[in-house]
Amino acid sequence: MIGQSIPKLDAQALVTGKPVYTDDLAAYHHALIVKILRSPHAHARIRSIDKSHAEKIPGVACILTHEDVPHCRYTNSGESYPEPCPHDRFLLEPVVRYVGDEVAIVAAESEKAAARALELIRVDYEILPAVLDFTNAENNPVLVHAPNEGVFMPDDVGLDCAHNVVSRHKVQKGDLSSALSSSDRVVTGEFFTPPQSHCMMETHRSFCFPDEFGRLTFWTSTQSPFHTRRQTAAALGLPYNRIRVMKPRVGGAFGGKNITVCEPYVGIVTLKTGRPAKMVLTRKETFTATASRHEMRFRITLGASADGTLKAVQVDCLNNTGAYGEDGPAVTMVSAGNMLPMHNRTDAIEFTGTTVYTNLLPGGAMRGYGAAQSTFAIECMMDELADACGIDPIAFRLKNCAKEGDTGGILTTPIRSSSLLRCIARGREMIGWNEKYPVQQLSETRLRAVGMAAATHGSGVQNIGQAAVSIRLEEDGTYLMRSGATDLGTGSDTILTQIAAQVLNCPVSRINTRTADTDGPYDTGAFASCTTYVTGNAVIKAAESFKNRLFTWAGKRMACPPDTLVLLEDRVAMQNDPSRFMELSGIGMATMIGDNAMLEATETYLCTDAPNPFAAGFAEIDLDLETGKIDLHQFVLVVDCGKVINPALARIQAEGGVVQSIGYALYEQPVRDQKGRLITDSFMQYKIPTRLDVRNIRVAFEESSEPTGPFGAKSLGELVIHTPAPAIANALFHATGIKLHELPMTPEKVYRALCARGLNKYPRRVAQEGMH
Amino acid sequence: MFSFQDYAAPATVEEALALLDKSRKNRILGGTAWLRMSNLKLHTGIDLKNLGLNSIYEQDGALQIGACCTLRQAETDPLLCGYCGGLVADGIFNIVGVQFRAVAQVGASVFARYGFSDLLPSLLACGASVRLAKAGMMPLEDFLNRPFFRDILLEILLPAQNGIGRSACLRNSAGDFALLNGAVYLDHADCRIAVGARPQCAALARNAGEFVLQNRGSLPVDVLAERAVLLASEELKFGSNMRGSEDYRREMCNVLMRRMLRPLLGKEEGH
Amino acid sequence: MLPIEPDEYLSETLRAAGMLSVRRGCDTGMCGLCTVLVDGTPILSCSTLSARTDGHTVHTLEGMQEEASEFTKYLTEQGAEQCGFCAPGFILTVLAMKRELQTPTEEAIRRYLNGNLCRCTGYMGQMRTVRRYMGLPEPEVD
Repeated sequence: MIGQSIPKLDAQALVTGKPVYTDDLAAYHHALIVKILRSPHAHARIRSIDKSHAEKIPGVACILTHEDVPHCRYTNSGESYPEPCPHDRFLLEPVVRYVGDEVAIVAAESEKAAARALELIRVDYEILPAVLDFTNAENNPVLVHAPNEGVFMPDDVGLDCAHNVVSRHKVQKGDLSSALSSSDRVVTGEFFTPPQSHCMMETHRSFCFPDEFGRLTFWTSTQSPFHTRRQTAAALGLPYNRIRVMKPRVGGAFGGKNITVCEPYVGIVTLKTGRPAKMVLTRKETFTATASRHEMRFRITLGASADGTLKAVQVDCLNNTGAYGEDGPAVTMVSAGNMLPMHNRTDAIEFTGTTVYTNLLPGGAMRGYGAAQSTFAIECMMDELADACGIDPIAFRLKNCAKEGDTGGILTTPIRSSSLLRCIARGREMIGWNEKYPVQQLSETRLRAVGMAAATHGSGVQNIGQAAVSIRLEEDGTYLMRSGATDLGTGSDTILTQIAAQVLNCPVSRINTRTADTDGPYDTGAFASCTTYVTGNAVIKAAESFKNRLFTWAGKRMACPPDTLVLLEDRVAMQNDPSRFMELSGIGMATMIGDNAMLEATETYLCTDAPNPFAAGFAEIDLDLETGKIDLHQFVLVVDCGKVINPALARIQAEGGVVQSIGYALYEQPVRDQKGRLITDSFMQYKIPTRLDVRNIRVAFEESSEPTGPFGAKSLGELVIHTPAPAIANALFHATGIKLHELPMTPEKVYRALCARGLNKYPRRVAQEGMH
Repeated sequence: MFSFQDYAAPATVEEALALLDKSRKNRILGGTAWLRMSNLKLHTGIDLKNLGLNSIYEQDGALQIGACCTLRQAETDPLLCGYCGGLVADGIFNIVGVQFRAVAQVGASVFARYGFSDLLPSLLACGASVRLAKAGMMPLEDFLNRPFFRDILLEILLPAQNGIGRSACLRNSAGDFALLNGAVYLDHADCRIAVGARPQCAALARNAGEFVLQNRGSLPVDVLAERAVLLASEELKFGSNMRGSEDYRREMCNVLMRRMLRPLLGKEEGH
Repeated sequence: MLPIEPDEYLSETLRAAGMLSVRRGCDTGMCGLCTVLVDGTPILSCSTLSARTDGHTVHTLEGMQEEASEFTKYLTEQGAEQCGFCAPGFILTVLAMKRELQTPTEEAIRRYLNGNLCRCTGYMGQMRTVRRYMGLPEPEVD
């Protein structure tokens, strides 16, 4: 089963268009439609709200303002507990802190009635000054959250509302100043990485109804049902056990659904009306009123000796977490924690990070989670440092990168597995680096160049990521496996079933896998690339425990020691005499229905290590010297994610992540107006890669074997987004010497940089030759 | 949310005009892809589907494109594909996707005078005319220069001519609006250079076209092309928006137009 | 016969009639998720007034299962359906493309399918599947 590219277990339902998503499950429940009135201002106080006209619209069931809802602090972040997230939200309050912030809740029988009601709610705002530039948020006299209003953080990592600071973070080893002063070459740079919108195809949505015991029951498009339940309970002032959250099929998330966006709003409507309610965000709302990748600034100084040995790494990170803190502190921490291990061999490291509030769309978890941003910055600097040393960039990486066996320094997990060196060698060959580096002239106006980057990430969250799994023998001898894992379309349900099938020595068809229900076993949820690693380990633990129970029971019936038995596809048999066996169907019937012995095992796995996967990415670009346009001719990614459980699914994950990074690198650009409103609020204005934009993405795997991983596996999901942006920037650097430290690398930006270096063609030539 | 109360599909142009004139809250429904994104609350939506305006036909070498033809029809029509080297049909594939183009209508696209239109530069370069129900026939260039007026666009006419044209665009990504686009048409008697997505609506660079006609044969092709497009970038106005700055557009006008014009001139000269 | 509002769009009508494979992915006609076939032509159901389809034949994926079975088999073998949310619109467009284009080039395929956005897969797996379905070889990369 391991290493098999089996189709996803839900594939048939998905390709035949079955109604298995949240809005489909709501379709026949005659649910109230919930819509939100949102603030048009970046920062304002609500003096008054008049809903009287809106309430008269036929079909309106209720309209709720801050005067009608519980006043309980919560965070919407789907993190573990205690969260390093400020509890800085109320369901509704008389202050709004970004354009899009919730002002009122409308529930109506139809979309038209709800839309009409929204138009008729009269709000009197007192507009307040707003903090719109994160580089002057700290110590700004305008405060996003007042310091004496009860904002708190269960795991406080430096919350300081009086200065618009959410957290401060520091990582260090060695003596930085001495390492820098003894470096022969020192390079510095400042980088800006913009927000990025997730653009998952299924927008955020949630459906709620009261069950037969009066519990609020949600079918919701979420990444973490248990955290969603906790945040919703907090927001509504309800005990956890009055809420059940289930996740159906989800149409993509990429981190964007790791927040409890819709649930409290449909929940309060169901509480007030007793009726089912659903909230389906429009694409505009998903862009403007959920979250986007954290915008960051990095100031980096690197030092090396003349022979290219990295000696000093200094990184300062400023993280814009927007109007509400959510994942901000964790993202700052991870921008260090999932990037620095690559450079642990250096003599000295100093990372300082500050997370600040602004009156802008909150930053939220997005694939890469800070490490995508920090890897871009540092991998560009690595190339510049290699250049300063006169050393080939690949040679520089090979010399300095983390290697298998490394331990200590800033590593919290020893590197017990790494095939990074093989990844780099293979990628180098696949792209034809030796023939192509650094640049070729295709024509008078076109250059072709190559660049590369190396990256790492984590697998799960150390000492925090936890998953429980139950496995039960059914009456017919098949298995029921239950877990809290959240398959977002990635295929994790399938992968976990493959892992179970391997241990249980059977085809996946004998296992029914049920996941993501708070009435089932706990799982931390689908983030931090933890599902295969953490839940996979829990599956193995549960399956082994199940086998022990099975062999103990069967051993008694067969009068032989349990350790002489083996589990085959449909039976338990003696290892040395397969003619002595009991069929699983017989055992199942016997133990489920009688014999005081239902065979079920539940085990929990807490991830005590977060082993590093590795990747090397290589970009080959074509550069148009007349327009500045970069075309990505080819991209090669070679991945070390330990053992590849399902190669087809792993390849698709890698390709998908690479393409998201290409968009981030070249043209995805959120734009805000002067008043802080996001104007890229549709697919018309915010452009994700299309089929005509991306070709020739080649992915390969260099397996290693992670001793702590399920069958040797490590994570994959986020790692794959780290290398394209820096590899493309590095290719541009090799082609032209241009150091573009700000994404996206649009044609106009590149063109201006070409002009500044006198490298652009044509218009200058004409100007120089004169006219008339 | 866009909405309207009544849907009408009149049988004659006169009926359609009468409905349009009846109220400012009545509107012609084109593809409605764009209308749907608005917050307009109309009274009657007027569908022209029964007026026989959904075909493309040829008469004495001239092409007539009915206003209700979809962009997809225009893109795939054999007559239009063969017209002047595919000048009009060629650029249409850039617009979003086949399923969008199967909804968007040519007449509505032209009537709305979208700055980002990938169709208007080509039509201008063809020397197209439009026929409106009230205002009658006029050159497309005149229509685009007039202030907005209520009327029904019935047909687009492309004159009989046998030159070659090209369209081209610059885009930050393939699925995006153009940050600049244009089209060039050349025959023995005419040279029309049109630039669009400036971000303003497409316009003809008349001085540039004239320059080519006057200096053809007396200047080397390279120099002719370069000087002509420089004139174009000087005579037209450009602007800044999210996709590009005014300066960048002006400089790229040189590049884009030259990339179209130079090969056409070269072909003519036999290079 | 279905009762509709004059300003009702086809995607709403179809979902209300139980064709839940028809999905809404955006507000601006850009994503292609809502694609259905009207008289065999792929169109955006979010931007087509239901009134305009009177007298025409509309097909959703629910009604095309058999014709789609070969292509979807290849798709699932690649794992390229991923979250599946864009799948119905994409599958219908591919089926229409095969009927319309017969033997297209790689470039013609990309252009035909360009209006079907996907955020999960990066298009590579989908293109491998389409090539196999259309009988095209995998392209060389220099």
